[in-house]
Amino acid sequence: MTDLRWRIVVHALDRTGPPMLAASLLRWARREHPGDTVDVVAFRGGELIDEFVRWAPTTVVLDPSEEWDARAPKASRLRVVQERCAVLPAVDVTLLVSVAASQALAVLPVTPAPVVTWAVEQGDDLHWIDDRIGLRERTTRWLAGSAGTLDALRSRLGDNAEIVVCREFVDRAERRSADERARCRLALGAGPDDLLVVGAGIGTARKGVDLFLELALRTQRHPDGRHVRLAWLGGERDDLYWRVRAETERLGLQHVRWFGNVSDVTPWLDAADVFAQTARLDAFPLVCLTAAMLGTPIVAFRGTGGVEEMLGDAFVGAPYPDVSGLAELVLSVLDGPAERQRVGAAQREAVSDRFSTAAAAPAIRGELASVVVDASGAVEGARR
Amino acid sequence: MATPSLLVVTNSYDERASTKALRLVTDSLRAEHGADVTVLLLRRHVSEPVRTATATFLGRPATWPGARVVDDLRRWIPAAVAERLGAGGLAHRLRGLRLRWWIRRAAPDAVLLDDGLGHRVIEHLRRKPVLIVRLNEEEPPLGSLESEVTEVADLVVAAVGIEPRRLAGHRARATPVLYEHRFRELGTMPSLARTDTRESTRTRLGLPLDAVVVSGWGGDGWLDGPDLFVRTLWALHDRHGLEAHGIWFGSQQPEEVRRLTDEAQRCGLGDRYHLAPYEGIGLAPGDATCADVVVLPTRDALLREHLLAPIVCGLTIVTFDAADLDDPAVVSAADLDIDELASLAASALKEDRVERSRAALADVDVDRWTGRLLSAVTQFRR
Repeated sequence: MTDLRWRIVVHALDRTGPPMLAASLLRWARREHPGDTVDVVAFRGGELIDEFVRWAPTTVVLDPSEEWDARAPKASRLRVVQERCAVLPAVDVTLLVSVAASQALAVLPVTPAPVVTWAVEQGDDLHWIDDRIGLRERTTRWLAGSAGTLDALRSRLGDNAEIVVCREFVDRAERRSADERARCRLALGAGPDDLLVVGAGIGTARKGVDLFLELALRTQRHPDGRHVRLAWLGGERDDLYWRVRAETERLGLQHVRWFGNVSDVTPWLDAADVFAQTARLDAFPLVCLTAAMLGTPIVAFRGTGGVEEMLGDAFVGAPYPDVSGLAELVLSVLDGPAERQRVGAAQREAVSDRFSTAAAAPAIRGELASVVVDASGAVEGARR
Repeated sequence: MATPSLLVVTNSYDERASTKALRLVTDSLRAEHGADVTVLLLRRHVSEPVRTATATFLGRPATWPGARVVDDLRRWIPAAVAERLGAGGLAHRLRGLRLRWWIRRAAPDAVLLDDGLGHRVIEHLRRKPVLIVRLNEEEPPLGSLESEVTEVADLVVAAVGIEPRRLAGHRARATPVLYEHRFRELGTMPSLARTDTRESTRTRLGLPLDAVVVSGWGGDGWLDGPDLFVRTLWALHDRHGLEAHGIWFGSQQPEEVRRLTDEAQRCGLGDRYHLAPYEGIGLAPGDATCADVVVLPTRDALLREHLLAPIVCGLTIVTFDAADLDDPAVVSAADLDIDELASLAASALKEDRVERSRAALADVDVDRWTGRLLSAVTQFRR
């Protein structure tokens, strides 16, 4: 296959889904396609910057927390950041990882090179498509990270829009040692005999951080008498996180911890007996993919995004917004090691061969190469 | 027996709900029962040089006709005298003299002392009238001192929702307690209880006439629990088979509207969820009558006075324990327990709304209440 010059554009370098996905793709590309030239443009920075610069030249467009109105940026500031991007090398194709990355389009040099937009969001997060910042016009090919995102894209772009489904992926997660798992459990407040339920995500209503608290109210103790401990990872940058935390205090709940960010969720997910996905809407949650790869059973709401699509027949969940139903399922999965192992193994089998980076990333590069071929064909045709 | 005469002593004509309620009580005693009522205010709240007490309610000046302001004496002391004798001390003595004179001239059958004033007034009561002590929801600064002074009270008027601790001493002495609701100028409220206004309200708000309607309100997207309200509607359908419509009087900010509409869609409510503007102080009386039950999934304490309109309409208010309300019209579920909230709402829908309305009106109708107060006073005079 011909070497490609391509650019990955992300909305930020924080520990949210799209940058994590982009990081997996970048690492894979550097390993599997060393002849490719890849650079990264991040509209905003974040804690993953070290990881990105390790693998590719990385340009961060805005300064930390800089205010920016993508529809009407301040002219003087726009010139500065455009100059910052003017020195970027020419590429054959640009890949936007998430539609939120389209905020960077206004500052990137306009070139004839095609743009591929890989939408990995659902719901209101797709508003950038309609925001008149040039995303529709500049996108040559649309990719959808899940079937749910495909439907959401169709509803915005029209039924005739050509969209290819390329599902999201994570690196194959390795299980941690029993000692490390025990230390993580201890840090989260769970002793050896306790049952540990973990949730994770930014602290927004969409991620259901408030519903995790409601779940905690209904799962204080397993019917067999054992204590259930719950812990939420991430989210402390969001207002709702602190409101929910204050609510926990008001209710006097001591079996739930609001643990904040961790640099790598893998050991924490591995330490959990159940991962509770309480999101109201999550297109194809990478944290669930990671948990499934580790064999940690996942319990989630039905009809709230891509977890059902991800796990297929191995999905365990209650219809949204049945928190009591979700709590019953959590407790039933917690019934004993055999049940947890059964559910976890089925879910691991459902994802590991389909949604690992090694299995799924080639499709993305394939789409990029195909778009480049199509574009050069079109140029040739125009010349003739 | 003639209608007893009353002397009401309060601190000032301020803007507190308790003061406003007391004003309504005195008006009702005079107008509805023909009682001779004297009102003494220990100090002026606003400083206009007029003899009649005034205060501002909802941005408009209001008067309390016939009320006398004892502390007006302070401004009558000539500057030279005040400088020589000390204005504070002289005013205090003059105030005491004036207070004693007015009290003796009124020669009331009963004295109603507003919360916290007993220690300042009781020494001036020579003849022994029926002594009524009024305890408000907000404890006054000298509340602990007050408990000793008012040990001799014949009757306690206590605000609904008062801390039980404040009544403990009176309870121990078996002093009768008459509970007082936060009376308001009821205005059109009694007519709201009639079912024929419901049709026009529902039409105006775009609600179906023949469906069960649940209402709720609140301007805070977190504390007032508008999303919990949506999920309660879901639970009413899922657990109880009720295709209820819900109307939330809340913020009209586009983001908040979108958030709640999306939540309603996720919960499969379709067109059964409605949003209307919230005016800011409870539910507007004109809107209260649209519903069959009120659901307030609050994460914070509620003010009872904000619930008056739906109570008068005979609606049950279903809320969480966090609301911290003790009222016959209010039922509470454990905090954040949507299933229990929906269960309580479903049960409330089976009750007789007209009968509840009648009972509620008896509580909030100030004329009926003052009738009960006068008969209690009459009993003590015997």
